[in-house]
Formats: sequence, structure tokens, C-alpha cells
Amino acid sequence: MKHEGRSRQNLKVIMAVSHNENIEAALKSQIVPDQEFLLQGSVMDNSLGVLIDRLRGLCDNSDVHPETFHDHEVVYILKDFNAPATPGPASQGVMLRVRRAVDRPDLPHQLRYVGYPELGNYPALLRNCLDVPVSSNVREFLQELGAKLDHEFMAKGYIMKKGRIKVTVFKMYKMGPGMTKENLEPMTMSHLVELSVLTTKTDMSVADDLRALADQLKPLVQLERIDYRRV
Amino acid sequence: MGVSVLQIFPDASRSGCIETEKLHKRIMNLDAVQCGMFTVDCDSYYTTAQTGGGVRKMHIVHNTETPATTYAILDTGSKQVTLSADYLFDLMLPRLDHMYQSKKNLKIESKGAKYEVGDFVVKIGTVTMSGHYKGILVEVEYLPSVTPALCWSLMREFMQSFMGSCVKPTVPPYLQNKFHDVHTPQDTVQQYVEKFNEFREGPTFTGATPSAPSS
Amino acid sequence: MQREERALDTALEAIMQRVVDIKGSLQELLGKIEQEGERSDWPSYLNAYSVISAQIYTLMKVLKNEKTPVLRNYLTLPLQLSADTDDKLLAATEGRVPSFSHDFVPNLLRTKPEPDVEARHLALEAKMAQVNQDTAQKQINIHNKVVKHVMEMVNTAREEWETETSSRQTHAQTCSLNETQILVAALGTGKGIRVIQQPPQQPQARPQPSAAQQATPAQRKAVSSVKTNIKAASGMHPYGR
Repeated sequence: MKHEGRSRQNLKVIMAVSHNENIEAALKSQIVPDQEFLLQGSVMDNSLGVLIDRLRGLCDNSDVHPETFHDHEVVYILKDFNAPATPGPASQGVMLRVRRAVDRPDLPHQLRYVGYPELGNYPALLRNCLDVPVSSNVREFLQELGAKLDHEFMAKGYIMKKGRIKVTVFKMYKMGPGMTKENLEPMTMSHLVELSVLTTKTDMSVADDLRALADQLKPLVQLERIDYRRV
Repeated sequence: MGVSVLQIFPDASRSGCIETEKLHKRIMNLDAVQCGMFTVDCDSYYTTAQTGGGVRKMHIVHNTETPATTYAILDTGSKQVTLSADYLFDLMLPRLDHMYQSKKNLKIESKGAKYEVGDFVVKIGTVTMSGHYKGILVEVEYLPSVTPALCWSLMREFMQSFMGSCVKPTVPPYLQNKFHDVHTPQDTVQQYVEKFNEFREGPTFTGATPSAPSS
Repeated sequence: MQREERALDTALEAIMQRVVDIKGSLQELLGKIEQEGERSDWPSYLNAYSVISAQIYTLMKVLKNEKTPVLRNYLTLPLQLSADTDDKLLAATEGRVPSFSHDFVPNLLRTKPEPDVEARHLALEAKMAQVNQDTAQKQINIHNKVVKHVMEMVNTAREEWETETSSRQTHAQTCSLNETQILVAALGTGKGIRVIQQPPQQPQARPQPSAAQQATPAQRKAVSSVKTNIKAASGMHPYGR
């Protein structure tokens, strides 16, 4: 994706000074913005216009049209495929997601790791999240690493921001044999709506801003913390 | 970014600082200007399980010349893939530890002073592996060109002028394979990994104190 | 009589208080528009509007209250006109009206109709005197009947309209929890997006990883069976390099 929080910029400055020592120090002092708060919901296609208008009013830069994106995501699973399955994270492996902007070939590919939702009473879903811009040979790299392709999809929609909050409204399309860029099969008759914000382990206050924005979108969209494993 | 060539400078005395001092003096005689320090470090990760096709290695390299980039070089034995990634890739590595684990004792780095001589950039590095002195590695970069074929003879002549006969007249194998391609920062890093692997297999000189030349 | 006066006084006081509130909110909003303009965000404007709308609603409630006397039954008469500056009046109107002069007394406070209105009124009275008492009564009855009928029509139309809008409000669904769950599951686990092409006799035939994985119930289904097809699918992928 095309957006990074400001806290990440700070990290860039810290880390550019010298490498290994500082990244470990940053991890220890918990200032790495690798935590993501997330609220999810959906809006039916016929109400998309109303939602976009409302979001434009609520978000930054309401004087310009919201930025659109068209991403292709390929999800790999990295695990020891020969080892016998045992319960626990080891046999489940790790999901590694590769995103690329179909409409902006000049942007770097993104390698994304998303952890399991944290347990606990947070105002929004909290999970570990890493977005790493990488060179375009990342898929070959992952395959040689031993990861296997699990599934892929297209995401097309709008992206806006309000302060540190990232708002995406997008439609998911299935990919399959014989499907071209123009001929995609939509998953549902709805757009997925996500509010997310990247933060550190020590700064949890932004979750309330997330909730406030979600409340302002009611009853048009019901944004909630949804654990996808329980769906 | 130009074309880079790496050269191991033989250190018969195995003391490190005496030889780097010698190189420093020679290069200063060529009207060089010292311009800061550099470090290239390399961590190696090996697959934990013996999954079918043998052990895969992943070398994680940082170069102070490209401070926002982490290079991940995957070596499957038959194939090499180099990924250039944002430095945040380092944070991803602990997530892969069910498959790849770091060989701490193989952590190796080349560190030293950087000089400018006209269109050339010379980096005289002292190589240490987990604290032990391993040798001297010199990187020479020629800025005006990006194709090795067009500047190799010039570079060889320049390298021989201060390193002498240790510079072979033949093109190094790595460069030979990409003689007519555009040289990228990935190529530089891959050469470092190649040389680091040579050092790892070579003898360790104990008791020496690695140091950069004082300017 | 005294009781009525007291009721009127309290009602007027309540109404005045509400009006002052509304005036305050309006001034606040105007100040906000002037000072912050477009820099302020929508939610704060919406908040200001909703406050004003709530205040107007309570004012209307006071007016419709059973205890509030019907105000239109009361006459307001200008007792004294004066061009001199009246300090009390100035204070009561916050400096807007310096004196209770002819300029400020609206036409509504006239005690005598305008001349042409008076003339028409006299003409109508004369016409009325000519009409027979019985015919007049008949005409009044017919008129009342027609009005009653029209009222009924308006009321039924209004009822229909209200039920229609209320039912439309409940039906206008903008989001679906079911679709949210489908999308979230697809995004999180790939459920429903994996290309599943079952080979002829796949399940439980091999003791390899697929069977072993199915043995653990915690595993997400479909993960195992797909593995064998992945290479093929990736080869066909339209954006593969």
C-alpha cells in the first residue's frame, strides 16, 4: 500500500544512523510501530456513493477526490511442508502477503506480515503488522525460500486518511484461470471498509480516535473488531 | 552508482593494522581524500529442517552506502535470488525462525575507511567474523560507468597501482558473468557475500587487533 | 383571572429563556464560521447544527405544551409611542432598539385597519345583510361539509405517506453483516478465494501431509487439499512473471 505513518518516518531517521544495534534497541524500547489497530465492516455497492461522500467530509483533504487504488495480493504460506503436522503455530506456518499496485507499476512491491489478533479488551482489533517495501523479484524469492502460493485476489477501491488513521473502502475480486484484468469476479455485492492505524506497543490512545470515526459512520456502516478466525 | 570490484588484499603479517596502514599511505600518495567510514555486515540464516533439497541459506546484508535497504540473498545451492527490501525486513526475520535460524558465529563484517580518488571510490575494509580478525577486503568503485565491460581494464590498472600484483589480470568470475549488464547495488552486495564466504572458509587469525587506519 | 395571568407570565418566561438559548447558539455558530471557516472539520459543524435543532425542538415543545396559554388569543397593544431614547428598552434589546418610536412599531400593532381593508370589510357586511338567514345557514353547512371532506382526504394521504416513509427507512439497508463476514474471512484466511480443483480421488488416499493435517480439527479446512494444485495455479496466473 502507499501509505506510511509519521511514526515510521521517525523510525527511519533513528535507524538510518546505524543499523543493527538500533533496530534491536528500538524493539526493546517498544517504539517500533509494528502494532495495528483495525476495525472492519462493509457497505453495499448501492450505498457506496453515500459512504464516500460522508468519508470525504470526515477525512483530510476533503477538497480533492479520494485517491483510488487497484492492488493485486498474492498470499504465500511458509512452513515445513514435509514435516508431519503437529498442533501449534509451527505446523500452521506463516502467511506472507505480497501486494503490488496494478495501476502504479512504478511503486515497489509490498511484503506484508500480519499476526494473529491479540487477546484482551482493546477498543479495536490489535495485531502485529509489518509492511516492507521490496524489489519486484519478491515472488521468486519467496518461492525459493520454500513458501507456497496459497491464494490471491484483487482489491479495487478508495483510500483516504484522517490524521494517522488510514481508511480504505474496496471491493475484493476472485482470481482464477481465464480471468483477465478486465474480467474479474467480485466476491460479494459489498465493499469492505477498513479503518486502521499503525502504532507502537506503548501508544494505545489512537484506538479511541479510531472508534470515534467508526461511530460517525453509523448506521451507514457497522465497523467492528472482527476476529476472522471466528467467522 | 558505478561499477564495483572487490579484492582480497593478502595479509602475510596477519596483523591487520600494519597492512591497512600501508594501503592508506599508498592511496594517499595518489592524492586520495578520506571521506568517512563504511560498514558492510552479513548475517547468515540456515534452514532448520532438512527439507528435501538440502540446506538453504539466506544471507542478510546491510551496507552503510544504502542505509535504508536490507539485502536478502537466498542461496539454494543451485540458484541465487537477491531481494532488496526496506530495512524493516529485519523485523520480519524473527517471524521466519520456524524455518530459518541465524548462525550467530558466522556473523561477519567489513569495516573501514572510505577514500575518493578522482572518479574512483576506494573502501579499505578490515574483515572480522564474530570479533575475530579474518583479513583485508578492498572495494573499488568507478563512478562514471555502469557496465563492467567498458571500464574493467581501467579499474584493473588503477587497482594494481596501489595493491600491486595481488590484482589478477583476468576478470573476476562474478563480473565476468555480468560483463555487459548494468551494475547495480545488488551486484556489489552479492560480491561481498561471495568474498565473505571465502573468508569464512579460510583460517582465523587470533590475537590480532582489528583497527581502521588513523587519518 | 389572576391564575391565567400567572400562567401567561411563566409561559412567556420559559419561551424567552429558550429563545435566548437559541440566539446564543446561533451567535456561536456565526462566530465559528467567521473565525475558522473551512478550517474547522465537519463533525464540529454538525454538532453545532444538532444543538440548534434540539433547542428549536424544545422551544416548539414549550409552545405546544397544554399549560401554555394559546398565545394568539392575546392582543398586544402599543400603549405609548415616544421618539425619546428609552434606557430600559435599550438594555432589554441588547442595544438594538433605542426608542419605541413609529419606526419600530410594526403594522401588526395597529388598532385600526388600513383604509382599503376597512372599505372591503364594509362592502362584505352590506352583502351579508342582503342574504336570507336560512340560505346563509345552508351555505355555511355545505361549506363545512366540503371542508370536512377535504380534511379527511388530507389526513388519509398524510397517514399513507408516513407509513410509507417509515417502512422505507427500515428497508434501506446499507450494509450486511453476512457480507462483512464473508469478506473478512476471505481477506484473513483466503476462504472462498482459493482455486479448488479437486483431483478425482483425493481424500484420505495418501498418508502424506494432507491427511495428517485433516486429523487436527483446529486446522482450517481446505488448506490441505489445495496444496497440490498451487503450482499449476501459479503458472496460469495472468500477472506472473
